[in-house]
Amino acid sequence: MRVLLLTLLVGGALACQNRLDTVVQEAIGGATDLSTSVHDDCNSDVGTFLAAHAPSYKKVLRKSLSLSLKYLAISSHFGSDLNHRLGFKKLFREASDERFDQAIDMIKYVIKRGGNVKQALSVQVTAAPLRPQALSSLGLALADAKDMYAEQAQLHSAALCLSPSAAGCSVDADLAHQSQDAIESEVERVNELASKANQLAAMFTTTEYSLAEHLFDQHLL
Amino acid sequence: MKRLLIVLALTAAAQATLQVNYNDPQDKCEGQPCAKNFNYDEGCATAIRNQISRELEASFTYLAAGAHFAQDNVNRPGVSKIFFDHAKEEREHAIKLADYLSMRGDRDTSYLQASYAPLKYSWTNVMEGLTDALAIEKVVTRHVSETIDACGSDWHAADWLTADMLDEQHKGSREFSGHITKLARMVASQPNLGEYLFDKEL
Repeated sequence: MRVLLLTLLVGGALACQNRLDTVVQEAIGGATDLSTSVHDDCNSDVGTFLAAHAPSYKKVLRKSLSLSLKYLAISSHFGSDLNHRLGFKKLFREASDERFDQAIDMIKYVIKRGGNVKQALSVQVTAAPLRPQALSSLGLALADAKDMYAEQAQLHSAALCLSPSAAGCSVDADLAHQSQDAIESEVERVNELASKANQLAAMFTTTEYSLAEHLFDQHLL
Repeated sequence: MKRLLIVLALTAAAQATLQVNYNDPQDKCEGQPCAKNFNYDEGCATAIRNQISRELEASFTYLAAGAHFAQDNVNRPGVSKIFFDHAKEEREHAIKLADYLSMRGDRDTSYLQASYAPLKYSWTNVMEGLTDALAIEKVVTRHVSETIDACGSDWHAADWLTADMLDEQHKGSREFSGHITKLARMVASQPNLGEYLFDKEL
């Protein structure tokens, strides 16, 4: 099996060299039907990312874009004069920026692995009004972060064929490495949001919470 | 000295007193404290909310363009960077509009559409990409102009949209138009080499 894979790999690399040799020879020979389209033989497709993992990866990419839009609206909600929680506005604005940058990084990763993002940037936005209370918004963001962690962990697990249904699974070392970095970021986000949620909730009493919320919001600035 | 005292006394008498209406119905605040004033126009706010979505749509199309020109079979990293930068810029425009609405006292933050998607995912060459980008900038500019029309009775909104948003739009159009002119000269006799050099010079 390894010999077969190695043969295919080497053969694939030679296919590109052979194709390019043909281009050179045709150009030297002045061929009138010179074809310089070499992508079929010379491309970035290596490993099993495109064949086995790209659709799942693009699903996470879409989620990242969707979260970016969602947090933008929540940021505006906290920035309105009715709420005037400028610390929470800043928190969600930065979260929106982070998810947008993450989406761009994921787009670049798909491209780097030889793929494209055709039909992968079509994003649905939740129809529900995005007007949470301050404390509840931390719970909402925490749930999203945990969901994104689960998605990245799923990518990582699939890339290493660690899941129980590993039949026909294809290992992709670079995706495993890339998703591991993403997992670390999600873990940090989860920890930060959980800590904030606990910290603010602890300051609520049966008679008073608005001053606690105000001070917490100020410290977010 | 006497004349000075008389002038001062007359001036003091001529000062108009400030008439404050603590519950002015023209303020559109429905009896509660709010940032809206008599000038706030709901039609204008709606037009600005729609403009937010248009900016985001443009951002998504530029993301797709940035991705396309980074593909290994296209490999125009300079052009790709332009489009990724413009994707961020269009999103920044949307954020500016949202922040403006908030500043004016708007409380309706339901400006997002149900879905967003790029207008296209692939382009034949850089010229087509830049031409499409110029067309996108112009249509967004038209929409900004229509938003300004909708804000005719809200002078501050019209003025801010003209000074800030239209200015950005015109600069964007000028940038793409300049790129198109330069690229056209470079690809006249050797398209692939010309496009390669154009990309390198970005």
